[in-house]
Amino acid sequence: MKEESTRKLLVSSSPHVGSNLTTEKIMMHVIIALSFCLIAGVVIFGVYSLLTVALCVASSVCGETLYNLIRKRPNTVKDLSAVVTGMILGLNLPPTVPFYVPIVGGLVAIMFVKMLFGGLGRNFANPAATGRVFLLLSWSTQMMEYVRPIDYASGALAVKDFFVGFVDKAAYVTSATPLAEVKSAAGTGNVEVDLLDMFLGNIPGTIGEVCAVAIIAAAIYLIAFKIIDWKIPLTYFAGIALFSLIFYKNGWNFILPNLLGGGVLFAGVFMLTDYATSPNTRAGTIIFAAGAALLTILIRRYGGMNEGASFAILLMDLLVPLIDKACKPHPFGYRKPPKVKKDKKEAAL
Amino acid sequence: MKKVNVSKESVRIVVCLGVIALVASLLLAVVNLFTQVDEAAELRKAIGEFYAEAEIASEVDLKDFENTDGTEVLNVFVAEDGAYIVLTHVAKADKVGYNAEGVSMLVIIKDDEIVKLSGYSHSETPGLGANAFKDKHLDQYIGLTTDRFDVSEGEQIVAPDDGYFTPVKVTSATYTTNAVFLAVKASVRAYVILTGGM
Amino acid sequence: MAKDATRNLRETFEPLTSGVFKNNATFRLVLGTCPTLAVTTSAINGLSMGLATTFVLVCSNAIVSLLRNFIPRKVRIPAYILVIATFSTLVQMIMRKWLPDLYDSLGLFLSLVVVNCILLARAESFASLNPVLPSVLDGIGIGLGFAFSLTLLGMIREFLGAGALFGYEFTALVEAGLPMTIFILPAGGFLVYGFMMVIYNAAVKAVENALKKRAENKNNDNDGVPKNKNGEQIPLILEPETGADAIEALNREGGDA
Repeated sequence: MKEESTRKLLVSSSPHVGSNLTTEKIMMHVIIALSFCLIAGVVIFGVYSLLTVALCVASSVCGETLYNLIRKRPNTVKDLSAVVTGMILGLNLPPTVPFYVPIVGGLVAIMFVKMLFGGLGRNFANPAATGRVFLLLSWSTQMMEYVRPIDYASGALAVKDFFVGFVDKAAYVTSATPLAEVKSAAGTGNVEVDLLDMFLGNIPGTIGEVCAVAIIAAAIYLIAFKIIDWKIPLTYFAGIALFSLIFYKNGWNFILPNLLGGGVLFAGVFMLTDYATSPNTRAGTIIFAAGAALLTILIRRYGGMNEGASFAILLMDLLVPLIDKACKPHPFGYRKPPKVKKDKKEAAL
Repeated sequence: MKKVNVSKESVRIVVCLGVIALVASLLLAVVNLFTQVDEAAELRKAIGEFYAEAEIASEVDLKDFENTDGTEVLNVFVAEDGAYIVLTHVAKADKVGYNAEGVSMLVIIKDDEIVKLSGYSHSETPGLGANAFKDKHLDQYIGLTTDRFDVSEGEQIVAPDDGYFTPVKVTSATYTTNAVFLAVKASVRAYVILTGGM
Repeated sequence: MAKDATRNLRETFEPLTSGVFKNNATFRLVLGTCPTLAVTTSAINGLSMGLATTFVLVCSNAIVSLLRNFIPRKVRIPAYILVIATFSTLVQMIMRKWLPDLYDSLGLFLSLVVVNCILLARAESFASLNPVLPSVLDGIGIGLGFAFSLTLLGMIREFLGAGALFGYEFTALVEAGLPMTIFILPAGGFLVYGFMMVIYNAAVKAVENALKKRAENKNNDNDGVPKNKNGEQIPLILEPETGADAIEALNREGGDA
């Protein structure tokens, strides 16, 4: 029998564990988790939020396609990472931003931070966080304009001007976020915020960050499917709590407002856990998350802005290579070589 | 022999640098003569152009004037129609714009009311801090009476809720807005003190 | 004869043209980046800083070139700095007297013209080694190139960041809230600088390639016969009549068989 065995013998080194988890599947899970927050945001702020996030996703996808076209490379949009970036950035925007804000933000986040540096896995910082910082510095008025949630008692919000792209501003009431109250109360120590409102999302803020319930649900989903490393958000939240205690007068009053207010929950779950920009080692992740928490609290307490999470994330992302270098794991059985004492007299001989 | 060479080189170095320095100093001294800026004359000319309604009648002596922390009233003139022209400089580092030299405001107060005001000198970035000196922003001060400012307290930027004036801030230029406000407040305070109100 | 004259003229003025485009101080030599980022927040600031630097550069290049045999090698840097500082102070004094608004805007950076790398670099690498006329032309060229790039960057940053151009505000844009403040901030400055460098270098390369192609085409006559560098016709096919002739031709050309 001339049975020519065509079965090739595959020779490779360990590990030999396989997984059918592709980038696309991971991103799908993240998108599902993000949609919890998106649905909550739409319910709280109206249909225009959906348009904002959709525009952001569209411009991120277009940005990636455009870049690949210019560089004559195969289009990598199918791995859905641009969609994720677009959604995260969109959820970080206030609900009433003009249409050009998500468009420019999506393009900048994808092209400057991710594609220009080599694509997926090579971004030097979280693209959505950097995009948000870029938008904050470009259009500070538009980015800091927060509105009150829809008052369903008085009827649902009109979807007028939906296709024109401008939100019906008259229907919204601008209002300060709870973090403004936290900042002004920092000196006195008496913070007056409704914690239940902050937990359910009945507060002004960006589309994705207001509903704590949705974010916690998303976090449980992602941790259950082992998509994100739970150590990072846990350390981040613990750090926020600890530093609130330290840096604010009557710190205990400030722990929950700082946790529930602003983008801390959202950033901890979705932005700090970005694979490319989080450290490789366990010790590294703890340093990274703790550092981000410290910076967030310092900016909130002593800086000029109410919210410090995006800047804190950006700064810590830039430090990750240093953290990795400092926390390099030792090979198994490694022992530090004993220090050789330099005898000067002997050397002179 | 070696000694002579070394000293010759040193002499040459000294002579060369000395000559360049001398010529440079002479040149700068000559040009300085022509480009002297007479601050006082420039100020009067600027005021004359700015407040054309009346000539300057007299200048108030500020020898015994006590300035509040961080502000300095540089000149006070009284015009023929009774208006007080006050030039104030604000320099405290954390309360002015991004340039440490601070800002100077020229405020004209007549009959307890701010009639006209303008920035006199500043080095703010156009598009950012410089927006605080545009008419669009300064217009909010025109017409305010002196009782809208809490002149007993020199430092306050955020006014308490007792009806005192709080300026609308310019985006991305909060510190510069504060500086302008402090300068105007110091000018009002000078006016109130000098007209015997305090 | 006329061709030689034009070539001499072109060679004399070469430092002038190359200083503006090929050796542009900002985008090619990458000198003087600190004042570049600081004063390009508006077009007029960029232009005035560029012109002020040009003036100082021309004067200092001229003086350094005149004194190039007089200044000993050991102290050339302090001597050049003295010269540059003198002219920089002169410019400052003149501006304070006759252009006070611009003087206020440029502020600190006018007094920092003296530490602008361009001045010391050109003094060291060109003016100290060349006679006066080329040095002056180089100063004008590099200075104008610097002014050109500063104005360009200033226009971009001012338009994108403040919706204005040379102080003229496009109120429609500003009212709509479109200008992006980041471009007036340092972050945007770096971004614009980086992208302009890419675009500028690509443009210069494209122009150089086009000029080279045109020069190559000029060497070829209209009848399409290829010529070598000296203008002699390159024979396309060697046509010896017999094999022996070919061998003789080869032997004649030299070298051993």
